[in-house]
Amino acid sequence: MLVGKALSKGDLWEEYSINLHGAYEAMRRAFRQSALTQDAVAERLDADKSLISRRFNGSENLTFKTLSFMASAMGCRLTVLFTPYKDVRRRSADGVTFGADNTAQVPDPIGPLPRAA
Amino acid sequence: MSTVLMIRVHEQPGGQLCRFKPKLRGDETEVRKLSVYRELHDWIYAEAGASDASMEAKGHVRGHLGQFVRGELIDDYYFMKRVEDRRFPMAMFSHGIWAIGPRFNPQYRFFGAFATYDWFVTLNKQSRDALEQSEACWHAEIDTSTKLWSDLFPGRPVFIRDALGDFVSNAEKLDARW
Repeated sequence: MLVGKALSKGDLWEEYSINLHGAYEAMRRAFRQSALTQDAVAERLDADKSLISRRFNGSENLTFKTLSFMASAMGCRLTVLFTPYKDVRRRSADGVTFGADNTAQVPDPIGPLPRAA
Repeated sequence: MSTVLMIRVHEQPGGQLCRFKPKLRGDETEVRKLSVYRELHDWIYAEAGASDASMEAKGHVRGHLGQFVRGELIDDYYFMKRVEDRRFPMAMFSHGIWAIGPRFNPQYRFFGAFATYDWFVTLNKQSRDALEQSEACWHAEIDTSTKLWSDLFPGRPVFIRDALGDFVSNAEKLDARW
């Protein structure tokens, strides 16, 4: 059970860095899967290409608005998850997570059931 | 004595290297190994009397270095780069020194070399602002890394391969220079 003990600022920034890295990775993965160019993303957002480049290389600070705009430009819906530490799974290159026995947790090949009409 | 065995000796209490051990959550494990020069390791973790800005910067550094240990995707452009030595145009990477680059302000570059596959030794750091001043600043860091390596591992060369995937697992090549 979590108790009300102050977290150190250093730990908070460390976790922030990890979470931010996850956001960058997700954004870059979506970009790779979109088959778009950075020029195309810039055009869709009516933004300068250098700005888009800075966002991808991590030198531009990411806000929630930035992430949302980038997601829209790449045809994606942004999803935010709060995962308890005990359920954190190791990430791989393609975003596949690993289970406790270190086997990859691959998506169900059949996919979800169709939605009711 | 192999480089790895020498690292283990240096990582003994009071030795010149420390193993970087980030907080691991859930099923995260030490997938890759990262050894850090003790002075640098102490700097990364020192928070007593540090300003908020300094604690933020160090938190980012620990978060960034932790990605290496957790086995996350490593690329040779955003995460870490081969450092060019432009004093020797025909042998730009013969020194085998890399720079790990957390992309948060104030930015630092952490220099070091691979001891073997998936095992990196971080030796020295420099602020990005200082490095921006001239190429000579980069060369000075290469020389510092090389000197520290030689002192730690006399007669043992750094681990050099051609392909990124031969240095590190779960790697993505992005750097078009190599």
